[in-house]
Amino acid sequence: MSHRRFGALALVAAGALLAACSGGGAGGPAAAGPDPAAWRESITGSIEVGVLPAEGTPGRAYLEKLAESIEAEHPGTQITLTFANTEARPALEQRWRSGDGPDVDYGMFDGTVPAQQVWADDGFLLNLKPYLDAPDPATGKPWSSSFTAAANGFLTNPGDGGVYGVPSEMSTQVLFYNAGMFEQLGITPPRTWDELMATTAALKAKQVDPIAVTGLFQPYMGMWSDNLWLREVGWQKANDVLVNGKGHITDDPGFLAGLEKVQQLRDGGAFIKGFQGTDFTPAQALFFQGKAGMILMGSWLASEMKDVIPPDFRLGVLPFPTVAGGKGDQQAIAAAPQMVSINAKSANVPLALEWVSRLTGTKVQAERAEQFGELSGVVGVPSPKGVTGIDEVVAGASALVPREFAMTGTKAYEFVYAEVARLMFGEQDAGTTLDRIDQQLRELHKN
Amino acid sequence: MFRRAQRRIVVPFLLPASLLLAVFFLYPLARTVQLSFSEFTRTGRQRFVGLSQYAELIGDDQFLASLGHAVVLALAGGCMLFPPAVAIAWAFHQRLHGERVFRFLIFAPVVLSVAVVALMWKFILHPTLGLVNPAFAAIGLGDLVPVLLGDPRTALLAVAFTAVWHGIGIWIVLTTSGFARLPADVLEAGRLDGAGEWTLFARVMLPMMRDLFRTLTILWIVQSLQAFAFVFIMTGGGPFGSTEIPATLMFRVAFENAEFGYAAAMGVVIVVLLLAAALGLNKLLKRDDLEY
Amino acid sequence: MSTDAGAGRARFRPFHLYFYVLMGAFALAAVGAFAWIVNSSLKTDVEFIGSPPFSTTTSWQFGNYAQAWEAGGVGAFFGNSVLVAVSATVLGVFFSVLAAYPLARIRFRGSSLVLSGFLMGLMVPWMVTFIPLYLTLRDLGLLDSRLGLVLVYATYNLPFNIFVMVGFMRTLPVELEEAAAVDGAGPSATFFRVIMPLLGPGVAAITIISFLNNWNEFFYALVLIHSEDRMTLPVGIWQLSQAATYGSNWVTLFAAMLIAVAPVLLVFAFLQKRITEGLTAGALKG
Repeated sequence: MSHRRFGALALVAAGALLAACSGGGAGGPAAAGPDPAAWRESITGSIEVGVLPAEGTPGRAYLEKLAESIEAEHPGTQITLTFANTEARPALEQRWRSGDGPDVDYGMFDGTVPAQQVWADDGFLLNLKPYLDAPDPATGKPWSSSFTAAANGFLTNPGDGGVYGVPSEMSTQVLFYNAGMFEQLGITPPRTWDELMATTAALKAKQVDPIAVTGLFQPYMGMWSDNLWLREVGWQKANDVLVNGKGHITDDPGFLAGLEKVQQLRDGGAFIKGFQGTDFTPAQALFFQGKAGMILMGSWLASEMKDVIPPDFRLGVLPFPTVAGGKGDQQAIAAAPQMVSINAKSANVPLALEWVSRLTGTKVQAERAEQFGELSGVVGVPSPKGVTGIDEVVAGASALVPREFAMTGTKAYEFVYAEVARLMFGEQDAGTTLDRIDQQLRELHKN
Repeated sequence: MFRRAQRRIVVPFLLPASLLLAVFFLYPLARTVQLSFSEFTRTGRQRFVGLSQYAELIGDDQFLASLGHAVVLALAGGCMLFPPAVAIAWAFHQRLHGERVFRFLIFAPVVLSVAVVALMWKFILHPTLGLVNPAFAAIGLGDLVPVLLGDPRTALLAVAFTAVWHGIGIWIVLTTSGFARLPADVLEAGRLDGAGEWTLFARVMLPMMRDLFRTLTILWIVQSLQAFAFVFIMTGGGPFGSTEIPATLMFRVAFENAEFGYAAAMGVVIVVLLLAAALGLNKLLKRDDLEY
Repeated sequence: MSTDAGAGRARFRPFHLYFYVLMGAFALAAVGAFAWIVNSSLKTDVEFIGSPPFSTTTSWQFGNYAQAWEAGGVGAFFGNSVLVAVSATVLGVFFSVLAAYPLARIRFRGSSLVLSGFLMGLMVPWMVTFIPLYLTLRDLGLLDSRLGLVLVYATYNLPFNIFVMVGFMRTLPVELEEAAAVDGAGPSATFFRVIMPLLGPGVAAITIISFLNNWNEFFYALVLIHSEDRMTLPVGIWQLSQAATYGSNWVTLFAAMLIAVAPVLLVFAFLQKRITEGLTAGALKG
C-alpha cells in the first residue's frame, strides 16, 4: 500500500513533465462512431489504410485498384495505402501509441489471443459490432452473417463482447509439396509422420533437400513444434501449459515426444542446406525452384510468392501429418485470421468502414481467392485456385484452432521459439530444449 | 581591457550550440532517467514502479550478454581494423605507383550508405545465394566454413568485419595523417644509419604515433557502440541473441515490446558505465592536448 | 603536409610487393563485392534464386533499373539524404566553430564545465536517449520531419566538432587577437576577420567527418521518420529491402542500391584528393 502511495506522490510531483511524456494513448472508452444505419451516406475525406502486400507486388496492385474505384465512386475521397506487414509493425504501433495510428490497420486485434486485445480494451479501436449487426443494403441480411463459422471464432473480444476486427483473409498452416517432383520421383505425399520420415529419406536419396525452412525467423521454425504438439498433446493442453500456466510442460510426455520428432528431422538432415542463414522468402523461393521437396507454411505462400513460381510448377498441399499414438487433435489445423481494425480516433470512420466492408465483401474476396490464392473467411467464396487441394484440406479439418496456441505477443512466444530454433540448429537436443522451456515457463508463470 | 570586451561575445557564441545540446541531448538524457522509473503497457499507459526495473536489469541475461557483445565487437573489430589500417597507411606513406586507384577503392565503401553495405554483405554471406560459402564449396572446402551469419559462433565476427570494411577508409586516412606528421629528418637520419624500413616502422614510426593511436582507439570504442545499423539489418540480433548489442536490444525492447521504461533503464546503466570508463580515460585525453 | 609534396612517386623497391598484395586484397574485395551486385542486378529474380551465384547474367535485365527508379523512390531518398546531410553538417560545423572559439581562447568562469558538457556527448552513445527524444520531437511538432532530423544530426555532430576545433584553435598564437585589438577591431570582427580564415584545414576535416556521419546515419532516421517521401537513403533502402523480401523482388533492390551509390562514387572520384587531403591537413597541430 505505502509503496503505491509513494508512487502517486511522485507522479504528482513530476507533474507536467510526466503528463507530457506519456506515450499518448486514447484512454477511456471509445467515442461512438457514426450511425450504423446511415454511415453510407457520409463517406468523405481521406484515410490511411494499412495493407499486407509490399509495393510492386500483384496483391498490392489489386488493392490500389480497389482504392481507386472507391475514390471514383465517392468523389473527393482519398485512400492512401501503407505497408503494414510484420517488420513494419513496431513503427506502426509506435504511431498508435502516439495517437497517430492509420485509420485502418492490421494486427491490432484477435479475439482468441489475450495479448492482442489490449488495444481494444484501452479504447483505441472502433467497436464494429453495431455495424456488423445492421443489415447490408445489398442483401438485407446483417453484415456479420457473411463470415464463416471458422472466422467467427476470432471476432469477439471476450472482455466486453465487442467486435474490433474482421478478417480480410484466413490462413492455415499446411504442408506444401512439389507435386510435379513427387510424381516424377514416384513418391507418395506423406499423410502420417512415419510416411513423412520415409519421404524425407527418399528425397535425400535423390539428392534433394527434403524440407525448406528459414533459420532467421524463429516462429516459422516453431511451426514444426507447434503442429507436432497439436498432434501429440492437443491444443487445449498446450494452450494451458504455455499461455495460462496451468500445469507444467514436463507433465505430459507428448511435449518431449514432439521435440524429439523435430530432432529426428534435424538428425536426418531434412532441412535445406544453409537454412541457418536463409531468410524466409529465399527459403520459399528455393522450394519453388525445386531445391527442396516440401515446406510447412501458412496458406498465404502461393499468393506471396506468385512472382517467382515457375509457370509449370504444381503445388500440392497436405494437412500436417498425423502422429500414431498422439493424444492430441489429429485432424485439427492451426489457423489465423488477418484482421483489419478501424482506428477509434479516425476522422473519417464512414470511409474506413467502406474500405473494410468492400475488402471483406464477396466480390473482392472471390477475386482475391481466384487471382492470389487467398483463403477467405467469407461465406460463399470459392476456394482458391492454383493450390491443388487446399479446399479439401480445410474441409477435412475437424477444427481450425488458433495458431501458436495463442502465445502470440507473450513472453512465452519469444523463448519457446528461441529454444526450438536452438534445437533445429543443433545447439541442443530435445531433452535440454524441454528443460530450458520448462525452466523459463516456471519463471514466467511462477508455478 | 580587450579581455573584458572579449567576454561579451562568450554567451552569444556559445548560445546556439548550447541550445541544441540542451534541447536534443541533455533534456532527453534527463528524461531518460525519469522514464526509467515507470513501467509501460503495450498501449503506452505508464505506472510508476521506482527502481524495480533496475533490479530486474541486474538479473537480465539478455542485457548482460549484449554488454558482453559490445565489448567483443569493439575488441574484435579493433583487431580487424587497426593492423590493416596502419599497414595500408604505411603503404600510402611510401608514395607507391598506382596509389590513387587503391586509395579510391579502399576509401569507397565509406561513402556508400550503411544500409547498402550491410545489405550487400548480408547477401554476399548468404549460404547458398552469396559469394563466400559457394566459393569455398566450389573448391571442395564447403564443410570448413559455417553459415557465417547463421552460426552463433561467427555471426558477431561477420558483423564486425562488415562494419570494419565499411569504415576502414576513414581510419586509414587519419592514420596517414600521423605518418605525414612524422619528422622527415629523423626518418632520414635513421635511413642513413642503415636501418631497414621495417625497423624504422616498428622502432621509430609506431612509437612516435602513440598519442594518435590512443585517441583513435577511444574514437573506435565509441564508434563501435553505434554499430546498430549493421546488426539491425544483417542479423536483427540473432541467431539466439548472439549479435545483440545494447542499441539493438534497447530498440527491440522499446519498439517491439513497448517496454519504454525498461529500455530507458538500460540506457541509464549504459551511460553510467561509460561515464565511469570516461573518467578513467579522461587523463589520457587531457594529456593528448585535444588533437585527434 | 609532407615535405616533399609535389615530388614524384617512389622508385619501386622489392618490399613494396607486400604493400601491393595487401592493398590488392582490399581493392579486390571491393571490386568483387560490386561486381557481384552489378551482376545480380542484371538477372531476373528467378535467375537470382535459381542459378549459381558466380554465373553471369544471361538475360541482362536493364529494365530492373527503370523499375527501381520508378517504383522505388530512390531519387526522393537521395534528395532527402543530400538535403538533411548538407544542412545538418553546415549547421553543426558553424555552431561548433562559434562555440569552440570562446572555449579555446577566452577565459571565463564555467568554461571547463561547459566544455565537459559538450565532451560528454562524445562519450555517451547517441541512442540511449532515443525514447525521450522521440517524445520531445513529437511535442515540438518535429516528428517525421526533415527539419527535426537536421537539428538532431547537427546536435550530435557538435561534441566531436567542438573537441577538434578547440584543440585546433588552441594551437593558434595568442598574439593574433592582441594585434587585432591594437588595430581597434572588436572581438566579433577579430573572430570573423582574423581567426576564421585560419581555420580552413580544421573546418575541412570536421565538415568531411560530419558529412560522412550524417550521410550514413541510420538509427535516428529509422526512429524519427516514417513517411516514405521523407526517408533518407539508409532507411529508404532498408525499407526497399523489406519490400524486396516480401515481394521476393531482390534484383530491383540491387538495382536501386547501385542507383543510390553511383552519384556518390562519382563525386568521390572527383573530390577524392581534396577529401583525403582535407582530413590529413586538419589533423595537423598547426
